[in-house]
Amino acid sequence: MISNSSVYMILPFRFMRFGLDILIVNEAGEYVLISGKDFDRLRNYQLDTKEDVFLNLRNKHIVTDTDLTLPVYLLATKYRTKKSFLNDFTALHIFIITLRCNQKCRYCQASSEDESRLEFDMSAETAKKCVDLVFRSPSPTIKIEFQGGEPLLNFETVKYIVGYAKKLNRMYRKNLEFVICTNLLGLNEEILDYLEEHKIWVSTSLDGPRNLHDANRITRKGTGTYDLVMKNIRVAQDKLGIERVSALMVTTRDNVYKLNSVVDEYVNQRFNSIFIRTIHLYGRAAKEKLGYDVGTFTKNYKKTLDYIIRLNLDGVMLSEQYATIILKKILTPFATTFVDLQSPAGTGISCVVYGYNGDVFVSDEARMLSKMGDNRFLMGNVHKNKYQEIFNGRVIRETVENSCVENMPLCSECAFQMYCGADPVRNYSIRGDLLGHRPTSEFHQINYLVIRHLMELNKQNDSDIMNVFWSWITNRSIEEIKRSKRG
Amino acid sequence: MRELKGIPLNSRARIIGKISKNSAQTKETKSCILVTESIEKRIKGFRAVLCSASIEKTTALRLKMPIVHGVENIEALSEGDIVCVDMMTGEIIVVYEKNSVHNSILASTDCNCRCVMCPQDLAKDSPENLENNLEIIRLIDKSTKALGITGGEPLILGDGLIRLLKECKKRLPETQVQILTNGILLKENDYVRSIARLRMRNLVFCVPLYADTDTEHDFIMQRKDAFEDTIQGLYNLAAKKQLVETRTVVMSLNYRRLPQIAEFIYRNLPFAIHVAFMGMEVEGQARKNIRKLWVSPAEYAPYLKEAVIYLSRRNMDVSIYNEQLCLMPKEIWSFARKSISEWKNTYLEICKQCKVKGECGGFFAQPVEEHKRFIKPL
Repeated sequence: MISNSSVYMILPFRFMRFGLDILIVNEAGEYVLISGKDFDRLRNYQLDTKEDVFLNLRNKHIVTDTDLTLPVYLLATKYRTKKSFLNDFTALHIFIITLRCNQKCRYCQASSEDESRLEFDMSAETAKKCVDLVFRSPSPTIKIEFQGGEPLLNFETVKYIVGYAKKLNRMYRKNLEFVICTNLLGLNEEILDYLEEHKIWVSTSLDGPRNLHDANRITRKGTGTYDLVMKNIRVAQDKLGIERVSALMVTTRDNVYKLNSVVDEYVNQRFNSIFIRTIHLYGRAAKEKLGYDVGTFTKNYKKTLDYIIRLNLDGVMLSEQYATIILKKILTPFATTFVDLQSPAGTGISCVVYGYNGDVFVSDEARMLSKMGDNRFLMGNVHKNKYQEIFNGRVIRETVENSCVENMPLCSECAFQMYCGADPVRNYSIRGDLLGHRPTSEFHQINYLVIRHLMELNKQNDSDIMNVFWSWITNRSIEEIKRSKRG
Repeated sequence: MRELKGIPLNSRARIIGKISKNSAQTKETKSCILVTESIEKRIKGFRAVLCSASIEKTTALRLKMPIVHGVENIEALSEGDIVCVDMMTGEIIVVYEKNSVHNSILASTDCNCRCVMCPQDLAKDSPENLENNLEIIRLIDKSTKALGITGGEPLILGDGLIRLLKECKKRLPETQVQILTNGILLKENDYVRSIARLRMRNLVFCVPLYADTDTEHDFIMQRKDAFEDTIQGLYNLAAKKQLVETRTVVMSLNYRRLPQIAEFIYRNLPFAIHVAFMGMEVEGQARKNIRKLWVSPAEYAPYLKEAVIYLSRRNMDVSIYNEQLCLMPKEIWSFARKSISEWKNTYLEICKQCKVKGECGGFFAQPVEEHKRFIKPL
């Protein structure tokens, strides 16, 4: 056998079998598919440096037959770009305005309290200390998200935070944004005026048509919420603009087989994106047995993704956000800002949660654990601790150190590494350790299968499907994508 | 560039001036060259006079002013054009056309590469070149939308280029200035820094990228490490927030990898504000090497289409230059630009029957026979 090892050099890459091909991914997330035969020739140094297989690999810096400086320089630059979400530290600051809620959703992980329990409201004093901490973050962009419970039940504190943050921002001059996550039941004219005046984004919840929505999203008295939510979504859209109102859904045992009808409902309600989210089995959701196995989810997710693609080809503009995030990771050189799927995890460094009493957590799931008596991910309290103690303490360091897929078992060698992320809090709650156990992790399995499915669609390279994908990634219509930007 | 010729009198110098057709005195007169049908006594204050009629030497002597008479085709000169007149030979070169969108300054006639398809005839730079170009920039109309700085390789001027750019910034603050450069000298970060320090908002570096891999690119540029140096230069520019455009001339040596070149640009140079794919201008070296470089448009069209669609999907601004619509799939027509300078631009006889001639970029003056065969009216 003649070997070319003196002719070319192989640079680091990860690979996996992909159908009849081998998928090769470089350190910056660029991929090549080659046949098993060519893969063997590659590793045995038998490729001809003039053939296309070799040139395609060299294009992605997987081999080089000339100089090493440039490929390493390009890879380093691209790796930095992919990890640029780390540059600015914490941008997303979640405020638990109150634990009180006027709903009692069956899957609620936030374990809400009765409407009368005023002691679970965030006070102005606590809110002030939290906002002071928010502005210690070096991030030039600050997003304050109001969550609960139901934040509209303690709207005075919301108003206080907006006012105080805006006042501080006159000095800090950051790009400051507000989002309120609300079930919209308590929406009224006065609140709407306020949301409009302060350009506050609205994120609500919609699980599908009436029967599916009301299966889980019920009032404390046990009645459905669909009609009122519908009415108020419309009112909010008309007042604030369609772009300013979005909705989230949770996939449960009830709607997992009927995701297409959930999609239809989103189209009917004029939403232009949907995020088919899996359920997190914390709090009530675990007790109510709302879960499903991985196979059921991925099978139905794929079917529904197909359905959404077809809708887009028929002229409906509706993106699926889970796919969009992963496609951005696979197909673009840029970083994504989705804190739940990154490495290291967004826990504390990208996103932080301020509890109603000033406790600071690395994530909302961390707050749930605390509610159940485990303070493993409590970073500190705004009344007791300084910024350095909270954001440079043991909790945040351990969480980040143990959520780098680059050095986690199985992840470290996975070809999908650059497209994936880690969830140390979930690993801990299920297994008792931050690193987790890939073979039994549903987080791993679902991400793996969805990434694989999207990779398969990329490989098929159907022109229509790729147009839909790129319209999601670049937020443009298919028509725009096909036309020159110069008209 | 457009050239005219006449008979020179009264001077042996090289004179640069702005065309005026008004013989009356204004405050601009001293920078102008008058174009007239016949010489009159009252003409004074102009840098020179160009005249279509033949005149008596005695009349000319009385005027004591550089004169070129008997100029053929003088109506081709428009008010506001800038010409360079060689009073030794009577040659009048139009260096700027007011009514054109394709004006450029020939900053250097020399180059640090010898590209296999270079359409330019290269020569050592003459020492007065820079001063002449500075004078041209001073005379250019402020309303000019775009001005190219070409070569040769403009960057080999070093500080001379900085002087040209400073003059552009001062005289033409609204004009988009495009430097056509191979980018090799931009690997010197100090040089990039001194250009960035000028803070020109409308400056774009148009840099060639002929392949997605170094050996292939270096061969076309006929220079070792050209690829590495150019990429480093582009990254230096990006780090200083300078605007970058890539240009890829399509030829036999690279057409099959146009999609991979597009991919390389998107993954490694996503900051490029514009990506251009260009039909080859068959002049100079390209004409000499045409047998090795030629590829029929019908053959490369599918690759071009794939590359253009790839970039368009990714929200990159992509254009096709120097191509004829009848040779391209309809899906990529909207990306084709009318990119050939007016004075070079032609159409074939057969094009007269074509319904989309108005939108088509046409040809450089001399399309080769192999090319003509594929042209058909639509």
